[in-house]
Parts: sequence; C-alpha cells; structure tokens
Amino acid sequence: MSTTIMPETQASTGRRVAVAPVTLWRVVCSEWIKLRSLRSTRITLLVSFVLMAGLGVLAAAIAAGGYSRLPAASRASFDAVNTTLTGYQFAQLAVGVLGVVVISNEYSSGMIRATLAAVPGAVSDTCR
Amino acid sequence: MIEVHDLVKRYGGKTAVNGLTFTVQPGVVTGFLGPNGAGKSTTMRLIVGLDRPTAGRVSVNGKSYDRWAAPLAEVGVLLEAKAIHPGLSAYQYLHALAATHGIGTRRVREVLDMTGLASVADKRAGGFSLGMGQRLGIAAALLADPEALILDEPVNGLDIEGVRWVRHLLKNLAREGRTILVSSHLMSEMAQTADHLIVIGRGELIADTSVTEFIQRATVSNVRVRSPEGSRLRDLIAGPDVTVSSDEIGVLTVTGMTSDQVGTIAAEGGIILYELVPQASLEEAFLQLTQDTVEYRAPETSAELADAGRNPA
Repeated sequence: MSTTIMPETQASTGRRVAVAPVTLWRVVCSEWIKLRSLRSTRITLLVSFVLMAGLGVLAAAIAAGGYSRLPAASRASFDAVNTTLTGYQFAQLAVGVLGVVVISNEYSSGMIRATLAAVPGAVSDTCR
Repeated sequence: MIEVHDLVKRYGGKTAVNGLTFTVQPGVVTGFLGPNGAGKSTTMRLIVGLDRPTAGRVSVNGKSYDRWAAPLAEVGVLLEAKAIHPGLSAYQYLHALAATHGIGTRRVREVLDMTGLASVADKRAGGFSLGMGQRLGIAAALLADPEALILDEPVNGLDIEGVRWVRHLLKNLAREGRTILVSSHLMSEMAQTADHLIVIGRGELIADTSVTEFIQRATVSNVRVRSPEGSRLRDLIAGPDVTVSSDEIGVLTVTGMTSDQVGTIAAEGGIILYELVPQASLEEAFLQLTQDTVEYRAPETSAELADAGRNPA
C-alpha cells in the first residue's frame, strides 16, 4: 500500500500523517476489516461455507454409495458437478442474510454516516 | 476554510436550511449555535456531502467535499457519538476508517492515545458510555489529521475533565491554523471555547460575529447584587424602568440599571454590598436573539400551559 503524500493536502498546517487518496481497493480493505471484525458476520460466513461444502460432501457420499446399484441409463446421465453443488441454494440464503445483516447494521447504528463521509464519492458518483 | 453560500435544504415541504451564507475561518474556534431544529446538524451534514443541498453551494478548503481525493484529510467530522456498530471495538472501527485513506495502524494507536481510549481500544463499542462514544467520535475525526474539524455537540455526555480536554484540544488545533466548527447547546461552554460565533434560527443566519461583540449586543443586562440590606436597597433603586427580582435570600437581580448606578445608590444610602456583578451572559444574548425563531418551545408558566391546553394549535 502506498503512503503517498498528496501535494493538494499540504496546506498551511503541514501534514504529519501520511494520507493516500481513496481508491476502490482501499474501500474494499476497509469493508473487509469491518466484516471480519464482527462475530455475526464471521458466523454467517462460516455457516454459508459449511452449507456449501458440507452438503456437497454429504450428497456426494450418498451418491457414491448408491452408484454401483444404478442402472446404466442413470449412470450415463449422472452429473457429478451438480451433485457436489447441492448445498448452493442453502449457502445462497446464508450469503443473503450476511448482506442484509451487514448493511442494516451500518444504518441502524448510524455508522453509515462515518462510512459515507470517508468515501463521499460513493454517494455522489453513483447517484449523480 | 469552510464556505457556505446561499445554502437551501428542503425535506418535503419543510425548509431546514433557508439561504444560509457564512464562512468559517481557519485559526479560530467557531461556535455554531441555534435552538433545537434550527438546522445546525443539517448544515453540517451538507458540508460533508451526506445530504445534497436543494440549492446553494458548500466548499471545503476551496473545493466541494466529495471532490477531494482524500476527504478525511480535509475535514474530520463528528456528527453523532456512538454511531458505531456495537460489535466493533474502538480499534477495529478506526482501523476500518483509516484503511479507506491508507492510514497506518500507528496513527490509529496514536489517536486512541490522544483521546484517552488506549486502555479500552479492544473493548466492544456497544459497552461504551456516551462520554467514551464522544471520545471515539473525536478520535475518528482526528484520524487523518484534517485541515478542518466539524464537531456536533462534542462535549455532550463528557465529564468535566473531558470538557476541559475538548476545550484545550480545539484551541490548540485552531492555533495550528486549522478551521474548527463546533456546535453546542451549552452557551457557557461556547463562551469559554469559541472565538467566533455563527448563530442560526429556523435555518436562517441570525448572527455571524465575535463572542465579545455577541454578548455586547445583548440589550438587556442584569446586575447581581448580594447585600444584607436587600429590601432597603430594593426600595432605593426602584423606578419605572427598573425591575428587581430575588431568587435567593439576600441576592437581588436588577434589570434596567448598570452596576455603576446600583453601586452609587447603595453607597449614597450607606448600604453594605457583598457582591455587585454585571451579568451579560452569552446565554442571555442567545435567548434574546433566538426567541422568535425557537422551533420547539415549552410553555414557561402554568398559565401558558393551561392556555396551550385550551387552544390546541
């Protein structure tokens, strides 16, 4: 991460803290710090991972157990990828919940003000 | 420098800010006063682009706030204490804010030290008192070492030590040549902190003046007199333009006469005075100036209360 001192902020008082321009990457970093810091979002992320991977493993295990007894036609149309992705619909729900929790917490706590004040371009550029 | 020019903000049919024009100069602490609902917070929100003005312009150090590449280095803002996710720690919150401007964690530790929050840096903000929330809000405002600071009621909820700390902090920052705009309902606090005042009422500018001038403009001033012969003094100074009231035993509040006049009359009458204090307070001046623009006023007497009950407006 660069620590460029911008000439335009070197006004009368002289800068003592290195400040860099706001970029998309820095905003993503900031959001990631918030995301990983919160217990609720960590749990939701974990749940979505467990649903996705866990249900995939479970479905694969069941399918593998019954595979040898399948008739030839069914074996031909067997879709291994689809079987391992069984959990995606549940995981999708968890990710949806994550999104709602993250943004509604920003608004209900009022933290959105600090977030948007730090990144005013997020408002003006998308809404202008 | 913060420049507000012909600023108008309407929410539906309600005008929150109506043609406001003022400039906040660097190098001094500017107090932002007005009754509840006068439009102080709205104006502050407009300055940092959290709301779009219906008409007019706001510029920060010569440019619209949202046009700066690193806005936090231009204006640090505290709009509401404790507007933080309760599950985040003070450190995590500041770290997230710092990340948007590529500010290192060393500076995060620094502002936590400056605001006296170092010992609770890793505690969840949900458990913070209002005073700690204010300190954290001030820490966030100071994070990028900004040219200008906008603080909405920063001393609200702080203890005396905290109030003093804010007062010194603001004065020092102003001395460094920064622009400081601070709102408060505590007039006495403003009298001690601010050098300049911007007073608004119902979204309009009422005064843009130095604190000294503001107090001088107050037309009515009181004289507080403490004397063991209160009733005799009351008779001597009584006149058509003079009102004398007494809220505590042995203390008179004289309106309509200067302290010099009261002192002379007392000396002529041979009355002992323990105290003779002219009182032209910022609070009085403020109340006089804004009495017509108060948005939400509670009836002052029981008669008014009864009146209000009879004629629901």
